[in-house]
Amino acid sequence: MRRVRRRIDRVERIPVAPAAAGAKRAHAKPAPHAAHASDSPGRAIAPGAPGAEKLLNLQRTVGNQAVQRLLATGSPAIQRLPTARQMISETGKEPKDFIIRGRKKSYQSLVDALETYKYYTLNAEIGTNAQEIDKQLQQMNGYLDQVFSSANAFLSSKKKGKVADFCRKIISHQAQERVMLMQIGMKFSRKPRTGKDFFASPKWYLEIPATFRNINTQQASVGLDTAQETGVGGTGAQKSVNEVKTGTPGGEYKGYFAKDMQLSEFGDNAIGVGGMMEEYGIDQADPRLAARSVAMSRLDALLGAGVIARTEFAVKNTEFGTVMETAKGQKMVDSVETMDMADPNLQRLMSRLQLIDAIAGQVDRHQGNYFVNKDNSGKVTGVTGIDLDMAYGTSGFDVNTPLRCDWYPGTSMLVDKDLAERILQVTEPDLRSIWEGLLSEAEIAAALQRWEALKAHLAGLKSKGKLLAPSEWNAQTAQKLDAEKRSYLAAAMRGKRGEDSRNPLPGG
Amino acid sequence: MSAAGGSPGPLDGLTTWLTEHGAPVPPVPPELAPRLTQRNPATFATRDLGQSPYRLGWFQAEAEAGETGDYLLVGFAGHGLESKALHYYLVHGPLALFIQSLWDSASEPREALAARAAARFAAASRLLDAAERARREGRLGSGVRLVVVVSDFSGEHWKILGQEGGARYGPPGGMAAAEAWLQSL
Repeated sequence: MRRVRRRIDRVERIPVAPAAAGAKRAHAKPAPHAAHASDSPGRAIAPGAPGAEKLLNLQRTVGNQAVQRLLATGSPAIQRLPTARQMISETGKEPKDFIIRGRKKSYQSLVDALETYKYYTLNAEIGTNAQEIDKQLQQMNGYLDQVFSSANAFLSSKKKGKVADFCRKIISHQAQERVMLMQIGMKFSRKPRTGKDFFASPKWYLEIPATFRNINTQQASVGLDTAQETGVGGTGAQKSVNEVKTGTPGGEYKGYFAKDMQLSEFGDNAIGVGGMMEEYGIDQADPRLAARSVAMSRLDALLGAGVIARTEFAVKNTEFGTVMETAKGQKMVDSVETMDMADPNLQRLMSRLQLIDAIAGQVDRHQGNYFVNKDNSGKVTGVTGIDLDMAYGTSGFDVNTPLRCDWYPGTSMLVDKDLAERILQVTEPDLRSIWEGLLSEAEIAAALQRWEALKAHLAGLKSKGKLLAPSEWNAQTAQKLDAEKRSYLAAAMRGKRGEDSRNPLPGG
Repeated sequence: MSAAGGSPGPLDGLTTWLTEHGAPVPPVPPELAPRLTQRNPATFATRDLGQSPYRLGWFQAEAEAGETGDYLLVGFAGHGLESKALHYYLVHGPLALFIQSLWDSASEPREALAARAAARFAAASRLLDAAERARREGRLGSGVRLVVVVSDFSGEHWKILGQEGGARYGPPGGMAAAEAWLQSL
């Protein structure tokens, strides 16, 4: 957590304009102002909100088109503006690789502008009132102006080649990125955060506007439970963990706050998992458990899996930690005796949970760590994983191998098609964009390795036409999963029979 | 048998410590009581731990492989919102009993969790008595081990090892079913 905390401290001191190294080189041009604006009739964003008219106009024209395009093409994952790292990685070009002065200058300018924009949006905490938000929008639109003018400048000097192609890609993102910023700004302007008792600490880069979140949700199969309602977690003061209500405007929800614990605090608080962290390479000196939880939540959101409780950074009474949205339904361990294991949605969603856990290296998916929600007829409508912090280690986790004595069961031959397709389509920059700032490079590298290994498994299934569409899950697939013993569903089926639900020991 | 409150010394420490946490006191076999010490702020045990009690599977595998002598462990361990538990692990003659009872929860009041743990400890006491009687009366074959797991994270199961050279699961019902089986021998 050291790295993340440092950034947060810095951003809290400088809420509007963090002094990035790259920012010093950027000469932001303020966006045009407008006297007033509203996102819907009768609802003002802010008195005299500058920049809003331009942004609204964008949404009405190119913005809506951009959103429509995304909807039409079925984009597999939410993508923000490409980063400088991504550009250099994809083009193989460092600024020093250009020897023609004008081209080198415009390319360096583009790298700087992208870095500045990424740094600002990743570090600046979204303002607590409409005025702050408008200032931030101006700042970011200025940075974007710099990005696009640099890209155009490069194209004016060189129209062919990888960098030129990438410049066009950047320019094509213009409308989408500005609309995303606008939507985030509107959301937070409507109902400013109080910043007093309990609040999340959202960042511009890490927020996913509702419209774009819905793009993924539409791709998720019907029946996924993404509503923000309170589940079994109660509000009674006698509970040892109290439910809280976030102040996140537009996306207000109930959840539970958890302080980001250091290992030294575990003993005094009578908790700890001992050798589990060591075995799986979860840094004990600097565990950053809150960041691991948020990284899991963001992976779920990026892929539109819908099986992980929304988790965000939060501060409560000066303590840093996370708020995790209250899961609906019952824990599997409490409902296993009456659970219909042949329920197609149950099988499909538990397959999704297993896929997400595979990428994240989640080592502690016991049966009290996920909730199953049902409708009035008893059909499963949602599966939600909680307690996410035992993840993103750097050792001891092979995607294809069941963990000994723990929970992850390896890879199954029966897999949800929708999520598998998205895992095959998502790109490394997409994944890096949600993990950078949360995880160390070694942790990201390990997660990317798991993703590659999982992709190999899924590609093999896909090539044989074995990925399962929602209608293909049935009693027979449940039987196959049970016999295969490589799935969370099989573990639950063993538990229902009164057998050991942990992974069978080798030879067992 | 073997209630903690009747013994001096180490059991007083365990009783005080659990009471301070609002937790019930489990059964402690008299022959293990003298070796019981506080190993860390969260655990009393008669052995070196080697692992966090949270990893029940590790202790279970060890017992099933016959890699440990008799021991008792009582401790809190876990993480997160719904993953903290009060643990009671007892390997005593033919019985290997592992209780992992949820402690701290967003979904249940502490009083309910404490009551559930107390009920489990009461059932454990009866099971311990039944196993001891079966052993003393020669109704359990030599080399037979009864492994009983009661966990809010992995559910309940029990199995008999070493009987007729193999292993088999007992019928659902947890500690009560295992106790009934012992009495039926």
